Amino acid sequence: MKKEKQKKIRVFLIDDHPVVREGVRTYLVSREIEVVGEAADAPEAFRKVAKLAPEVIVLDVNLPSMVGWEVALGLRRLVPKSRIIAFSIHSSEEYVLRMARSGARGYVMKSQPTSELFDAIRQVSRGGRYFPAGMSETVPPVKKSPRKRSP
Amino acid sequence: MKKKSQPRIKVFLVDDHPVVREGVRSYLATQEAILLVGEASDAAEALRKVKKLAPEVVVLDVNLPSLDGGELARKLRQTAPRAKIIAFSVHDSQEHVVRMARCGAHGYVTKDAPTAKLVEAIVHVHKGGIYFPSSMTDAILAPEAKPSPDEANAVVLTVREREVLALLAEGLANKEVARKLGISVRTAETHREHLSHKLDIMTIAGLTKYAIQHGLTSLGLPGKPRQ
Repeated sequence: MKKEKQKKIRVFLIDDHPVVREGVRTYLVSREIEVVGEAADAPEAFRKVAKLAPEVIVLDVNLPSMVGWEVALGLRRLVPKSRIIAFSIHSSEEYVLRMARSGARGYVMKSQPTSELFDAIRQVSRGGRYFPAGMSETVPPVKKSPRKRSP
Repeated sequence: MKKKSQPRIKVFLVDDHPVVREGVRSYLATQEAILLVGEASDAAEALRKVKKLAPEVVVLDVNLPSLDGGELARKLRQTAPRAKIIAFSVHDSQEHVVRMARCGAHGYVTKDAPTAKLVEAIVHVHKGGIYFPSSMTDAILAPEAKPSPDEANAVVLTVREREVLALLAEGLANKEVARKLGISVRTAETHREHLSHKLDIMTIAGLTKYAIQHGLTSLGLPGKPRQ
């Protein structure tokens, strides 16, 4: 068995459309990213993420049971170290801002090439942020949680 | 042992979200019976490519930014009358399903369904079947443009009342109605009062609207309903 030189980024995926999960999974796996788990809705995600402790969570903003920013807040409480990327059909600044304020480190539109999502995952896994061009300035920085985190 | 090689179903995919195309593509790639022959992210590209590739089944996202899904389905039916269309949609409301069915779709699959459903639908419509949520079959088969849901408690009008209503709707005054039907003006007025009372509609405009909705007048309708 071959050992990976570089550790794969561990990603958790939340989207209620199986075909989207299929698409993301296939794409990410082809780019050497590990999809450690998936959920179709918020409660399922909340149940699964704590155990898996993914580095990055790709979060569909339009889940059936809960709005995206609430899911983001919930995830941050459960797994404060995981970085959240909002994956959304909405391109409006309001959505981007709301997700950013709720702690998302990145925002990628579903109309963009899937490679954007890959770029965003890499970027946020390194501690960076990834927002649509032109919006980065308006997006407020993520509030640090009271307890200090290791870099 | 040699396998019987059946020709694969040629499928074309229309969706503006690359990740959805990615998902459908990778899933269909695992299906022996299906061959994805092309993809498009918008309506113009879809129409151009479908014409050239002549797929047997088109999987069509109904929420393209450039053109309404129903319109595109209609155009695809014209461009490639042999291609079967499956609407692939985030919407699960009856309204959306019925609309796509009316626009010529042969099937409707929601995106929150397991992707296997899409394959099931492709195989089914390719065989000549239709694939819609079973709970909505009645709505799809119902005649178009039902006037109102109160058909059940529809008011019973007499033959003469219907005649009077039809003439009023055509713009005739009481006197002209009376002459036309060979009755007295007073009788015509009585019929009209009964109509207003039974239908609970006081204005001529309201009566006219009712007559049109219920096919009692020839206005805008082929053939006169009156005998």
